[in-house]
Amino acid sequence: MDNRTTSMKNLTLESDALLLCKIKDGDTAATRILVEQYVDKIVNYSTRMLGDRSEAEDVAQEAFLRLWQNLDKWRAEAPVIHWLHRVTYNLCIDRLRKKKLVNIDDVAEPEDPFENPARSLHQAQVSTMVNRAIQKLPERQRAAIVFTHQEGLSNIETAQIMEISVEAVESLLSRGRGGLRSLLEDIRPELEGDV
Amino acid sequence: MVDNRRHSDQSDFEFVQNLFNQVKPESASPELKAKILMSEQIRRSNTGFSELLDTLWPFGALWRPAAGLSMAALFGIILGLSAPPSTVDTDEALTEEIVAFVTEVDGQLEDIE
Repeated sequence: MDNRTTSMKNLTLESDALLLCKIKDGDTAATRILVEQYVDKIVNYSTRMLGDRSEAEDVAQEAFLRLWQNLDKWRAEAPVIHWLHRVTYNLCIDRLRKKKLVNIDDVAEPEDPFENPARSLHQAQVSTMVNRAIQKLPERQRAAIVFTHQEGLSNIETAQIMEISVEAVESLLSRGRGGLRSLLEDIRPELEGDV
Repeated sequence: MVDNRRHSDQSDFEFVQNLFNQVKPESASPELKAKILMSEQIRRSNTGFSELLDTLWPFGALWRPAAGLSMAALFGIILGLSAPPSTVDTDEALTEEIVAFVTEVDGQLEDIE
């Protein structure tokens, strides 16, 4: 980790600690800032993991509820988003195991809020295809792929969140990428097509 | 061999990253945000209630054994107070004791004679 990354992390830790301290004291504005800062990431991650938008929102709500319940025990050792990611990951895995069978046809179709209709259509199609392919990956491969490629986390951070070794993350990523590639190989020209 | 594998890994990485770059990110609905904010307010009001309880009972988790002990004592007292009265009248019992004594003494006197 270089100096810039370390100082960025320290800055996040400080601002998180400050926000949580204010939330503990009952500052509603601080609560709103924290929620605005992280809720989209959590919903995005859990939607990709579960393939179901409403379940993803339930998971996000549960993750934040657990954060509020643990405010008194909070220690500023890692950024809040890492803690939220870990809780979300565990909640998603629990749900996937309970569900056993994920119905891929239930993956929600993306909405259409973009200005360029051609680009929007292309993006919607790509989103659907990618979502379906992701749902076909084994859950741990899926988790590692989403943490790395969607959330932009390093292998070390992913390993910490998933509580496994960095080597195990690398192995999951390698198999996951290969799996996605073989699942989407047939439609690769469409995916890479310019709009 | 190693170079080919590395190249393949790099190519897979780029392919998957390209996919995710094209996927539309999901964002939380305003309803969800409202629910999360509400849950924090509820937690805070519950915390206020538990702080009040702490003021009234400053001994923490000691309330559990204390409650168990109190319940046991209360149960003992209720059981003691509600025990059914003896069905034998005390006067009658005394008379029977006297009669039995007299009969025994009589029998002993007859034996002496």
